[in-house]
Amino acid sequence: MSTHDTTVGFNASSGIGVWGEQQLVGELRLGSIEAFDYLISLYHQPLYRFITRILGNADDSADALQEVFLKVFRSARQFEGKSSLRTWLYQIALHEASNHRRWWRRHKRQEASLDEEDENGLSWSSRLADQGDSPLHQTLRHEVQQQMRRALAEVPEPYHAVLLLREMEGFSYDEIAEILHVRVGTVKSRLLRGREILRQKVVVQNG
Amino acid sequence: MVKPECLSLQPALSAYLDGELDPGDSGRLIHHLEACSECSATLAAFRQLGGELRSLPVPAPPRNLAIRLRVDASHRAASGQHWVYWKMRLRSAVEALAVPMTVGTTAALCLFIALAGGVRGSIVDTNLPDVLISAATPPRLTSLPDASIGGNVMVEAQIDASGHVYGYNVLSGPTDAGLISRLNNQLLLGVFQPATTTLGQPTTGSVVVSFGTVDVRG
Repeated sequence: MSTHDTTVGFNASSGIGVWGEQQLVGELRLGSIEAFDYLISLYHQPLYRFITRILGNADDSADALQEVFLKVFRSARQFEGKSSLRTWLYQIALHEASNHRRWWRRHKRQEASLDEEDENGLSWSSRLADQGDSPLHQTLRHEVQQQMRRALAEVPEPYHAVLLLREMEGFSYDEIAEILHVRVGTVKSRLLRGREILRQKVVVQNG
Repeated sequence: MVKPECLSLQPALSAYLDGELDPGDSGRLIHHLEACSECSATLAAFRQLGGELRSLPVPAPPRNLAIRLRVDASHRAASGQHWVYWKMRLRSAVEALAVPMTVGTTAALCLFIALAGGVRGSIVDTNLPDVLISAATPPRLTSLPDASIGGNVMVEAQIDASGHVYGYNVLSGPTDAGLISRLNNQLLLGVFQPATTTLGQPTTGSVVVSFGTVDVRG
């Protein structure tokens, strides 16, 4: 594993400017609140998206994400930079989301409805709609995406997380291996198995 | 029925799709895909699944989430700064005490070395033996006039530096006038060795003398 020194983004609102990853890590280790603000602005959306997909609903995502950043804040001083910052963040997010999901399944065992509204007042169903399509197209698209969501939710761990990290978050095999603390060969086999399971689930959904 | 070649190459399909397959293995797989409709269909299905997964709507975070996270971080930072503040206070206090403590410790050490050295020097110089040869001695009776006082009496006599009795107390025995008179004579005429100090100098002291009568049956 090597250290990374890539430019990780720009936050126009804070006026911080472009931070190199090592610079950002260095500032985080010093406890810089500006660096932490920047980290939040840069990663809160992708991490929220990832956690929501792991949990299968948005109810606990914000709380889980808060826990993630809390852990990042606490342990930033111990981050040695052996993996990339993004990999480290997803590692923490996956761990936290898995904990939340276990708790959720133990205590609530409720399935989030596609018609549940999020905090913005928008349901998943409404988000699925492409306003430019005809009503028929929209209906068909809704149907396909609902099937896909249900099929994906039925993929068991550890295949589910590997599928998300690869297909939705675009991590390389090496990065997924770092996040999951497994070998690259394991990532390959889990991904293949995950895709096969998903394919079968979609076929079942299509009836 | 799945062909044996398909079984051996299927694990590579996923990695090939992700561009994570070695070039050599990729060439072999491409060659196989040109001839195998089943594996081609599997690859196409995987590709389509990936596309559909990526086309799923992106869960949008609540509008105030970033603010909540920042506020939370600020609170954490503030609580962390409490600790930093007290740590700095402690460090300042230690630093303020550092110079006086160093000076005081050094002075005490120097003083101790000076005193310890002096004591050690005096011990070495005096070269005292382990067993004390010269010690203080009590007064001792050397001789008394050869006469009886007519009774059993015990007295404590005070002896001066020249060996003379300058006073006494009767500890036990009769105290009639005749006996006291004879006792006075005995003590005044008696010869005593005075007490000595540890340096061998004569000094005052006291000694217990017992007078008695011996009856001889004839």
